[in-house]
Amino acid sequence: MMKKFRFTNLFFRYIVFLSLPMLSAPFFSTYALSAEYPSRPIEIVTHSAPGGPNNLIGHLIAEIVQKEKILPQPVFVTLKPGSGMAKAFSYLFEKKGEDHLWAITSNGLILGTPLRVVVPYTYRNFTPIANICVDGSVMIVSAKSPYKTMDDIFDAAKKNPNKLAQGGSSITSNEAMMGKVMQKIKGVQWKFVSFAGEMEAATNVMGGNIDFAFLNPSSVLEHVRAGNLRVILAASTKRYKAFPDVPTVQEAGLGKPQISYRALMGPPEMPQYAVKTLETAAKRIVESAQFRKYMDQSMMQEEYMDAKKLAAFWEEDEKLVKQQMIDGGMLNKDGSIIQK
Amino acid sequence: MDIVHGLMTGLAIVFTPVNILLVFVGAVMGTLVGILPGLGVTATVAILMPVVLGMTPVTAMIMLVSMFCGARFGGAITAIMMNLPGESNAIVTCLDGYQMALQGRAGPAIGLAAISSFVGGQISLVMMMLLAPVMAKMAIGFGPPEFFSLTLMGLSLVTSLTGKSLVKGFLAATLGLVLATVGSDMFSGSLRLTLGRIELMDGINFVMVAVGLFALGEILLNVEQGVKFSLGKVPRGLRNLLPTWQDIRQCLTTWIRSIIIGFIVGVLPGAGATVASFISYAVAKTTSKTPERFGTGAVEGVAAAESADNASTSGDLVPMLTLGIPGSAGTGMLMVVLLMFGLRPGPFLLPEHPEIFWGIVASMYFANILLLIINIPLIPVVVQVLKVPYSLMYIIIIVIGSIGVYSIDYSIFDLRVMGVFGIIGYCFKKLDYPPACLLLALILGPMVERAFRQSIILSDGSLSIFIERPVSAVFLFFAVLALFAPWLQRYFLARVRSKERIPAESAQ
Repeated sequence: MMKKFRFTNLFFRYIVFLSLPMLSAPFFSTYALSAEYPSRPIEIVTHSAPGGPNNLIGHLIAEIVQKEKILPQPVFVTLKPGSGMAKAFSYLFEKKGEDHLWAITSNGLILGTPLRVVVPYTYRNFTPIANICVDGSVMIVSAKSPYKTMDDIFDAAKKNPNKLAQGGSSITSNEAMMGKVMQKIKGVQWKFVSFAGEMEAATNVMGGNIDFAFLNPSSVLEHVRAGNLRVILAASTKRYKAFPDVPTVQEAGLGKPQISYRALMGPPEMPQYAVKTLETAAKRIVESAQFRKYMDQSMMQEEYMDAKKLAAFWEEDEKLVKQQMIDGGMLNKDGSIIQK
Repeated sequence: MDIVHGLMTGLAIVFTPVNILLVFVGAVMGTLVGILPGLGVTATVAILMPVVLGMTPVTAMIMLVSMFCGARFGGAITAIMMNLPGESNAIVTCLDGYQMALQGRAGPAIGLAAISSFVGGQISLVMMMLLAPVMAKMAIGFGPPEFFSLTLMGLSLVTSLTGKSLVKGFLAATLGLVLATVGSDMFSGSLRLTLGRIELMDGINFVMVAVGLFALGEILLNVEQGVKFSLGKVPRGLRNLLPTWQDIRQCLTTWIRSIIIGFIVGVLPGAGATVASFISYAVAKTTSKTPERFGTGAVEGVAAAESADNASTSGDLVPMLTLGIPGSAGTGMLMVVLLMFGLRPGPFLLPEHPEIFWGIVASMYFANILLLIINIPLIPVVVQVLKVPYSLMYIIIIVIGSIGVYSIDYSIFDLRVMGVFGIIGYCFKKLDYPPACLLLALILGPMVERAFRQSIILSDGSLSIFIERPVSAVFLFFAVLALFAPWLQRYFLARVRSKERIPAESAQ
């Protein structure tokens, strides 16, 4: 018995001895980083549910980086869905100074969310890298729905205030805001229901649980084709080729459309060498043929802005978003958070 | 005839040398992924994305779904051998599987898990082929009120998971519900119970809770009781390492019920394999004539969990392939791969790209068979792990558990949370509180809350929405029934047993 025990003890010591270099590896690697960047695979954080547009762009970037050899290390995608982008943000926020990490964000979330709720960060905490594309959305109703145009919806909402229900991801999303702005312009009211993802909202429109939702045009295309859903409004700068008869928000006299500016950003205090490298990488990604093909296919447009331009754009856009939130009754008149 | 023709096409696609090899690679890799907790299929697909995108769409799908099937089974191995749930859905397998291992029946437990996975996978695939269009319609009709009632039913099954004391079960479940509210609230974006820690904004992932409560709690208890040199006995002879006919016969009805439950829960978007296995386990226990055996190494417990788990995998694919709606993170990943190939899952996938649908179906059939062939002969090898001295074994368990938990978010904080739950798990064991109740509440809590608040917004605050909608009302009825299941069961069993006794006595 005693003999066996001593063997175990020795064996254990041996394991501890062997694992020492492995345990100390992370400390050494921090020194090696700045010399040759990137020195290990780069993580890209996406905030939409798996298969959502934001997540897909992440995978597209990973694929282009690999195929075109834009970076010497691969990019891998992680998912932090839910709560608008709060989950992905908090994840990024806690990785202060990390250089092998970037995230795909959109202006509505990075600018809007911190305005409306108490979170420990604003867009200023994060490091802008580059804007890559813009995309709009379309308003869909069920094919069985009596609403054929936006006016039908406004009429119904006037007759029955707070009866119609709009679905969408988070209450702070572009789509929710656009709904608020429309209600303000037309002087009507409807409800907003949060769902875990875009497609969950689409299912509930099809199932008749909610009346309409703003969704990504590419995710509803197949269901429009199959006759399950109908598109009645396009929140974009110009009409979609796939839906030529659908008017844009501006044509319908409903103000300015909320368009997502999808951008890449890094964690707080990301080192400058990392920003420079990734900024250049982003430019090459946007210019690649595969990226352009994807943009067409998914009904988006490429739009490159470097880190400096993106920072300036965010600063400008934040004022606009703030004003819209005040107009939509989501903030107090002085821009402060409404306490419930 | 369409189905036969489709299946033939699918098999023709799968039975090329490259694809057979990839089914094999996928299944083995899946099993390994399943063994590590935290490192799930989703993460693996993400890592493999560059490799996968170099294949043709059908080949990629064949490999990935084989990996899915493998992972479902792999989770059971660590659950049974080490009380360490390798995949979230293997939590339920721990309940009876580990007890069986302690009784020297690790071999039969793993064998049964393999056979249950096989049966669950194959039968649910038949259901998928026959019912996919109908089930897709059902998924659409399932709104927030229905989802609330279903998840509430799941939650009221807590009464079936409690041990001797109902109060302790409820207390554990309440703690689970409180833990479920931690994190940022989706409806208002505000933070709840995060104690000012950014790490807790994401909520508490149940993998670390499960590893802590089950594996670490068990280790602490064993350490306190003095280091044993081995955990369980390894019986000699192949016959003692495989499940007996008696075991299999005992599981037949459990399989049928669990497969139906698993498939339906799998189809519904949002509820996945974990919910399916919990519900099946509780149903198996409440419909059993000897419910007191559950939790002490009942074969039906393992059978229910594993068959439901695999049945839900097929169910999960239905809304993704026919509607473009992924029901879980895993199928979401498959959808991403399809989209990256330029294919759009949705109403036109089956008519326009039948090779994808039938390729998936055929490869799942093949992968399930292959897994059974690979795993049954491996059982005698795997159970030798039990011969490892416990003083080494617990280190291995801690290492595997820690790697798994760390790989979820690459955060040391998660490991601390795991440690805390290890201590809680130890206290639970000492005081005889059921950890499964806490986990069920933690998993279902956010779903119940979300569906409830969505419904309430839709109904303008009126609770009648849950009764007015027929499907929801039916589930609510079952929820009430489930809440009182243990008493109803005791009543009926007493009646049945007394009836049995009377003829027996009169015969004497």
